[in-house]
Amino acid sequence: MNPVLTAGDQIGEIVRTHWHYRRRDRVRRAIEMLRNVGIPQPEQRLKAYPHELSGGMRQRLMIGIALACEPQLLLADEPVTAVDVTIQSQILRLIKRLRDRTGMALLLITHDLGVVAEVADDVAMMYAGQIVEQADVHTLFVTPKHPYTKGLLDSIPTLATDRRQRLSVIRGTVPHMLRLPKGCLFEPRCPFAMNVCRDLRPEIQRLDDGRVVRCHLYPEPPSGRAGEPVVRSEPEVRLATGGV
Amino acid sequence: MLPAVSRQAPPRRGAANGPLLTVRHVTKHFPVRGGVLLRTIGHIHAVDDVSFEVERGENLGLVGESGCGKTTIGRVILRIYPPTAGAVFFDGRDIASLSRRELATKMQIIFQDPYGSLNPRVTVGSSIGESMEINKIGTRQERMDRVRAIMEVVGLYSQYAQRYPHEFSGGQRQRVGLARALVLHPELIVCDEPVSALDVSIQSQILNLLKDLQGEFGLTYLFISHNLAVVKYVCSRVAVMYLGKLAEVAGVDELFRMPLHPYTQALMAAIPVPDPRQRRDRDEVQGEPPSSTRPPSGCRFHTRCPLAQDVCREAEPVLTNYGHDHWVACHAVDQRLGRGTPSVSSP
Repeated sequence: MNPVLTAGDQIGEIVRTHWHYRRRDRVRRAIEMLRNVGIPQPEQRLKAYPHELSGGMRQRLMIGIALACEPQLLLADEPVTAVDVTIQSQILRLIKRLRDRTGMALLLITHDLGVVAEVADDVAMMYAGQIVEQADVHTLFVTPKHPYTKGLLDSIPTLATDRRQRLSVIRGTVPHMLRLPKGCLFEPRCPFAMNVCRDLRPEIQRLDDGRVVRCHLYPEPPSGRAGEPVVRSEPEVRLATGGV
Repeated sequence: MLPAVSRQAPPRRGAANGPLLTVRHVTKHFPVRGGVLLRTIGHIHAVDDVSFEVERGENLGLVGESGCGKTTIGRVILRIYPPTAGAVFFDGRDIASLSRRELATKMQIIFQDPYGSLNPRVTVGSSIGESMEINKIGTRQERMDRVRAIMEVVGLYSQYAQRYPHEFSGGQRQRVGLARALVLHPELIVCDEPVSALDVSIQSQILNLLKDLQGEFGLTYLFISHNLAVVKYVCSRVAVMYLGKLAEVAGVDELFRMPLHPYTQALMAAIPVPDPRQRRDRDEVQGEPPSSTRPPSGCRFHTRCPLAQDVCREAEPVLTNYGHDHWVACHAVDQRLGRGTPSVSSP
């Protein structure tokens, strides 16, 4: 947000540019939007600068700015990553409510699988610049197929995680984008890697249940030498698991 | 595991009775300056009269939202900030009376941001060895040996000691941070949001490592986090903070089985669960935390609390033990359970 524009001006700017609103209409629209996103006393907040608003209120204002021209698609990039949990659930609820009311589509970008499970209908899981699995939210969370999706879901501690057990991990780190593996991008970290995964980058394919996945294990793992597991050298594994 | 180092810190006092760490009525206010003359025009009440103890080998989780004072407490404990009032005791000794070297060999910290907490112009080996150098521990060769040994312990190649922070990934940098904290063999490590800035796929690696190191070095963690699931996994006891005050303190199983404070309940309800089958329209807590320059009268949570009554606006609730070492500061709980005994002791 521009720190020297008031909340009202931030919203006014976008309806002036796209809808050529006059001053009086801009103010009316700004008050309307502030009210829509749940900012109390919108008439007074109109004159507030971003630094005078709390983190939660700033995120609400951002949403108000984005929705002022009634878009059909809202692109929300980590909308609740920087705000506290209790505010997080307020913002998510607001986004869901506005989505349902206006019928817009929502493209939610986040690393928080909890937020995804809470809001999304469909999920595309990305790894190193590629979509590796895409399905409706239930299919993806309940029966993940791609080893990365599985690994990620298994590794997150939840309130149900047993304290006495070690967390399962995905070893290693995300590959450097200038030194990508030749075959499957996830192969160096994949516990199911086969010889074919080293040599050949898998294509994206649709499975019978309608989901889309990018992995040589599906629909059937290859037979013969190509399907044999990759033998890993010790040092890589040692470093990757933390050596303990 | 580590090579012996001469002129090492004095041997640890035998497993003394009493808690490892005692925080007594600690208050920390920060002045707010303003006007032309930059006079003090108010105070941020970061921490107000907080008391608790940490036993040897237990992990105490400190949870709450940003601005609730959890990081400030961590820093008062490490003597980074002097408290406005109150005192911190380590092994029965007031930390104000410890030398810098004693302090460094007893307590260390790991920070949230592994990018911001390492000097980009210093090799990670020097970063890790810095505290030994400052405190004049060992010879140059001994320090180098210990740096290499500790790097292997946290899962880094010791050959990387000559490299610079930008050559490491976030997870590796957090391992460097851990090595820095461990190199002087402290007994207590304050972990301030140690995994919040890391990729999801790396977080579990670091959490496992923290647990392994605890077993290996007999560490005690004060684990500061806003992530209740992580706290539940790592900690044996949890203290919930709200606007500079303790709202609830209990054993981890007790707390998650029966959270009593309305704020703790709200926090738990607000965590998004990574399972779409548990999607629900929750009763969310209204409003936002008020300003800590002018905290509300009475119970600080009353402005957002669904159970607030007149008494909550007027009188400040006392942290009270309701049995099973379950401590809560709430008038509504007091009326409901009514068997608590406000005492002079602390959790």
